[in-house]
Amino acid sequence: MKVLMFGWEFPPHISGGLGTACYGLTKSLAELGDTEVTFVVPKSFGDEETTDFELVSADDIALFNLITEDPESTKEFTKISVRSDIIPYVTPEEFWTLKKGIQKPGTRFVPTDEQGHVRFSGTYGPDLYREIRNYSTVAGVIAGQKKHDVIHAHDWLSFPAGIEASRVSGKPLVVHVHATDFDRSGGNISSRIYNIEREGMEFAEKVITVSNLTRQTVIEKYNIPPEKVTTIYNASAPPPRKRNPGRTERTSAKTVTFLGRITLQKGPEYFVEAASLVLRHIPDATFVMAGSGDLLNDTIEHAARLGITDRFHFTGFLEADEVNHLLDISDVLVMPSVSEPFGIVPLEAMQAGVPVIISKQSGVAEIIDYAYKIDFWDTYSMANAIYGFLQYPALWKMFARHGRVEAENLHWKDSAGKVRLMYEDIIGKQPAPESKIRYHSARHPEGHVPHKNQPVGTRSTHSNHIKPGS
Amino acid sequence: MKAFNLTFQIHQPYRLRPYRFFDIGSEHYYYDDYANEALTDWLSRKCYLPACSMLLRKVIQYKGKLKIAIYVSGVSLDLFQRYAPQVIEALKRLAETGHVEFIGGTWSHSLASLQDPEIFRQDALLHRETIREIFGLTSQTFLNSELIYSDDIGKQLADMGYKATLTEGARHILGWRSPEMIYSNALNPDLRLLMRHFRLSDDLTFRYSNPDWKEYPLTPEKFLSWAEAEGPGIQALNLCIDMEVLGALHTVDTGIFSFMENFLGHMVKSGRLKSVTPSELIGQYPPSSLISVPHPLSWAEEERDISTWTGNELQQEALDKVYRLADRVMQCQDPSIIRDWWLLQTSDHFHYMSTRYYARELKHRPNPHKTPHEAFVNYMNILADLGKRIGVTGEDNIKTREIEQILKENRELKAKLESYRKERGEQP
Repeated sequence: MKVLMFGWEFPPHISGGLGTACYGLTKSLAELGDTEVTFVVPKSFGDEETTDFELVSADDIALFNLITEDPESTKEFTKISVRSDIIPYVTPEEFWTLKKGIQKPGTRFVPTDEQGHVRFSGTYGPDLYREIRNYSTVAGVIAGQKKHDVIHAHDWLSFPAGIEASRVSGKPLVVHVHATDFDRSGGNISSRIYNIEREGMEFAEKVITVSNLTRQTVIEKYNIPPEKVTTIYNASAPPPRKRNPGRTERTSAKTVTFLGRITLQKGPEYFVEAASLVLRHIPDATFVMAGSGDLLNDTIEHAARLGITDRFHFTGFLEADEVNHLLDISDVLVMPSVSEPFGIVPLEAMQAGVPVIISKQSGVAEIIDYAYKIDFWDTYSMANAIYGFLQYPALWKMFARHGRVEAENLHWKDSAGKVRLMYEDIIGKQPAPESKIRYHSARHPEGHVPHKNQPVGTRSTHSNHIKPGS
Repeated sequence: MKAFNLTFQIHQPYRLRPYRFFDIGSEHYYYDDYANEALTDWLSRKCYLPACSMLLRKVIQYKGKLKIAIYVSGVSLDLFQRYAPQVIEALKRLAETGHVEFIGGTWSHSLASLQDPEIFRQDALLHRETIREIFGLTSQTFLNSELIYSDDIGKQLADMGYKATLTEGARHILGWRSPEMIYSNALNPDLRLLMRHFRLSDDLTFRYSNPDWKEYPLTPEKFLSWAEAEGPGIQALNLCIDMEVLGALHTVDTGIFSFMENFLGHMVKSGRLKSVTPSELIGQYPPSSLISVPHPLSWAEEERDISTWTGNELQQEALDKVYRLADRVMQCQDPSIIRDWWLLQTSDHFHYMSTRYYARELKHRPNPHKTPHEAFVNYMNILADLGKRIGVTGEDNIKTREIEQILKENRELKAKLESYRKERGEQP
């Protein structure tokens, strides 16, 4: 079975749990055997670990001029046809010229470089919407090139890409909801994002959510029929880090850690409030906030107002190694998220033998027993739990020991198995695939040439635009 | 004739209020007044009062042909005195009939028998005093908290002057032997063991109102026929249930009251069972054999062991901490501190910390805590405050350990001295 997957980020270049989850799932799917995964990101950096699967960078895909004619080569030729409704352009002048001409409605103009590559930043920058649109265009091209049986898109950023790919190849689409805008924005949703999310979910054959909490949001807020939505929990990453020998004692420094983006969704202010309560009784405790985000300055000011900045460390964003180091010196990890579809950070902490306090409003709370669960707004309970871990060694040891075992027993293999079953299910139901998009190339309607060493096609005479129907 | 002993247990703990760490050192009140009052009131109306009046009616009606035994923990008597004195009045009327035995036990319904023999002795004495004070009765029979029993505990009971104890007729202890016989302690054969017939007792406790049970609905006649079953060597049937079975575990609309009433009536009329109190069993029957119980057993869960209260490290830590305070508490003069310390020993607090997946939620003793971990932190916070009140800093270093050790040895020596003096007939 061949799976075409669209994501937005991939380790080590990640800004949150999405990339980690994508990596875990992709790797485990590939390891199941008999499943080939092609994972597409807007931009790859070349240092990703891709032993078992193929990682495709969208900015390596040229929208035109794709044929290399080299009769001497023994390599298999690939001819890529160009979709009739896409018009790449390089300069603004060209765009103007093209735009003046008469085009079919729905024709898209895509800026490219001289080789026909679309440029992506692969981040969450100011041009996000344009990047998403361009990404979907390229996705359509990739769907024409790569053979696949099912398409899988992670989160709204790649939903349009998934839809486009599915339109091109006629293969079923599965969308994977790692978070909704209700989680990210704290209720103040962007209608534009909402529409993209909803369109993706409605178009998809199946929707995967990472927890029942998210499943409920998808059903209630996006009006998706419940039978279409399945919960498949994330798991803990296969331990890529070197395992620490397993701590059995608390450190003497009493370090309490918050690890995550400092945004509304993650509830940093509740952590600060709880910290000030704890510090009144344990003056030598240390609090670390690792991560950055739009509330960072507010949070620092909040801590300053409470007069506890001397016990607070703000580290900014940490790389993977630094995170591991931080976990090694942490005594407790707190995740006070206001809304957390899953929350992979507690699992990483538990694997490192750090007891965790998590909000009941997180998806991971549904599957973990050895986590102290509190309401995110109940700072008194949160403080009480922190105090308990710092003062009562029996509690600390129990959570460190059992939590580690529990987290390590959540295998991506199991989640991947469920995803795989879902693929089989929808492919089985699928009628014979039929392309919904007409291809420009008449000779190779399927976009690839099966014969070796056979001269194929003619090099396009126009190097940077191809008119429809020519 | 086969003897029949029906024992009711009455126990309710003091519920602890949510006690955060910022209260440590400033707030010394640990109890959830609302929950305690509401639950005591609810149980009195639904269970204790109607059950006592039904039993009283039957006992009077059958004039000595019906006898029952009741164990009521000191903690619950304390609760009744505070929130439902009418229950004490109802129990007193039962005591006045002369056909109801109030058997001994622990005042605080504690696990002291597993932790500290000296505290266990004091707990039992406290209970004996309380019962004598309220009901004017004493008993030679003992019912330990949660029916916890082992050879050592039995020996200690014999030393304290008890002649018999009720315990669980657990399968892993009895093996092929019948629970309907009387046994004796392996270390001191003078102590008789009355084995609770757990199948029939649990039929009433857990299965009576369950429509999926194959014997549902249970009629008094059917149940009586099981109770009357004879066999070679059969001596006595011990039925031991929570009084909350009547009206709380099975509500009045399940017919539990009329079931019990009719069962007792049929039993007296058929005359094939002789209703006795546990103390009457002691002299009547010779023990059939010794029973050795090296590891403590209880009536809890399927395993009938003590893991429900001591199974995980949280419970062990909490137990360790509360009993390490013992000597300091003994030396202090403040009655409120001593009282708080006894109330903190109640086994229920440790039951709430159980992480066993199948830990049975006791419907008639609801758990105020959402998770075992919460229960633990709450309990430890309270214990920290109690420790501060008696000058324990909470530090765990060599010095404090040493002090505790010396205090303990001191206490043990005193006890030894006293027992020697007693032997020689000296007055202390």
